[in-house]
Amino acid sequence: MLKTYRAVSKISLKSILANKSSVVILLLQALVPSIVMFYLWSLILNHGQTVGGFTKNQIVIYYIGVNFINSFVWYAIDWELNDDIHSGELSNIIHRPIAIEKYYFAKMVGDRLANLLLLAPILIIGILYILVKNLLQISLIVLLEFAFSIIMSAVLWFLFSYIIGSVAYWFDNLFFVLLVKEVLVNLLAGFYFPLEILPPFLVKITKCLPFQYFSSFPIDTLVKGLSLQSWLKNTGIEIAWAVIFYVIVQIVNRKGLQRYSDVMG
Amino acid sequence: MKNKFKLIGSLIKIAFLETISFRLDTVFGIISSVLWLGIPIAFFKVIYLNVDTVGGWSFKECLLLVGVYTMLDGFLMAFLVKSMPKMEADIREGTLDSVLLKPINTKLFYFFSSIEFTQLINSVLGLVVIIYACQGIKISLIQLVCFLFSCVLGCILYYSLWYLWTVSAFWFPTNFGRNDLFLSMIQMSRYPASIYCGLGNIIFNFILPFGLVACPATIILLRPEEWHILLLQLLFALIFVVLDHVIWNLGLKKYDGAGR
Repeated sequence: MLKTYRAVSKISLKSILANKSSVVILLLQALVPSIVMFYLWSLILNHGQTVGGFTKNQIVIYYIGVNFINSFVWYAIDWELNDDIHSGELSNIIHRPIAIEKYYFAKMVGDRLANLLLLAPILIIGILYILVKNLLQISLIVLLEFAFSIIMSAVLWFLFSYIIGSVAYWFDNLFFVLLVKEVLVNLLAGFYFPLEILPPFLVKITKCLPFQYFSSFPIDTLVKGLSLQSWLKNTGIEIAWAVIFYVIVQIVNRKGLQRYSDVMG
Repeated sequence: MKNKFKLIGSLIKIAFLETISFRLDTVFGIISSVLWLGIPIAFFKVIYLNVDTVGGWSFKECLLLVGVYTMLDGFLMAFLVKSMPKMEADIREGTLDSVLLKPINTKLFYFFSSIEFTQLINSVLGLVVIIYACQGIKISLIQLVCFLFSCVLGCILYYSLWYLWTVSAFWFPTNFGRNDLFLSMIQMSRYPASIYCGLGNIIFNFILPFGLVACPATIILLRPEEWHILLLQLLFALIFVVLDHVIWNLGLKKYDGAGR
């Protein structure tokens, strides 16, 4: 059975690598917003000031980090599910002897691996630059924590997006629903700016929500060097959120597929 | 000519019916408009809690810039947010043939074929922010005319950039988020153009003139003595209109249709 999902991942990976233009687009997508933020924050923090505890170097690395995480973690499963449900493509998947959520997860893994392969040279150069220039203090433990956080982010992101995409079972057109979800998640995950620079009461609210684990938490792990105790506590909460989302995925899958077969099949 | 107007009228009517036929999506369209405007304002507010100016721009001036950008962005997004991905898919999949054969200019067809009316709410909200941010600023009639002209030029540049990026699919076809990249890049237009220096200035203000979309119109309202920026914007708009035409024709020569 594992072989089947590995094959799905492989196809997804190859379809990305097949287009050379994808490489350019992916690179631009990760680099351009980071460059713009570099210019903006360099201007704002040019006299050694800090914002939300971030120095100029830290905030620039933060933005580069969230943009790269975007490339590794944020797979548009909700848009894909929405398209597949409404175009009827889903029928081709549910007729196969595979679990639908596992099929999409395997697809996401292949797609993200392709991104990782494409961006690996830049990522390695970036990390070496940070280490050589001593811009951040990164120990092996921090790197391991960071790697684990990214994997967990991908899992949590998948489960959350899958739930949102499943709304397509009940509604015909989700273009703006998904757009709103994207903007809100970007905001609450710390993609637009670090959550720490918000007023304290808003920081408290965002810290109670699962969205910080999509990008803010992994990057804070790397940039701010959280204590092991704090990292473990947050990872525990992240895993709890993943379990909750997994249960919801099972429910919406069952009810959604029931509706899909009722209405369309 | 009359037939063409009739055709465009029909396209708009269909697009309007499509927009209002999905109620949940329309409601979320309105929410997205509010968020689309609220987030950059919140972003600048948070920044200005820590500093007084950014590249010589105060908070109120940035607010005006965000308002101008949102107004132009909302207007063009209404026409392009669905049609550009559609055009890209047609080029990539070889289904452009059916559009080329229609008795209407291809650009016009795409422009009017998939209008997303809820995006126009962004424009209205952007206008409200402009009016709010302009309180206390004396604006002459010439300034207002120049501002409107600059907005038109900004729209031309916005459209041209997206259009060129889309027709690049003739040479570099990929189903990999081409439009997502444009949408993330165009957001640069809501930052003051003066934040860039050196190479960044050349790239983001001239080669990819995102800094010339909304900034000139804002500058005309704030610092009328810098009116010459309008000439620069006009020059770039003309260059990009010509580029659009040339690149489209070159692309059509390269295009093999479904038989590729």
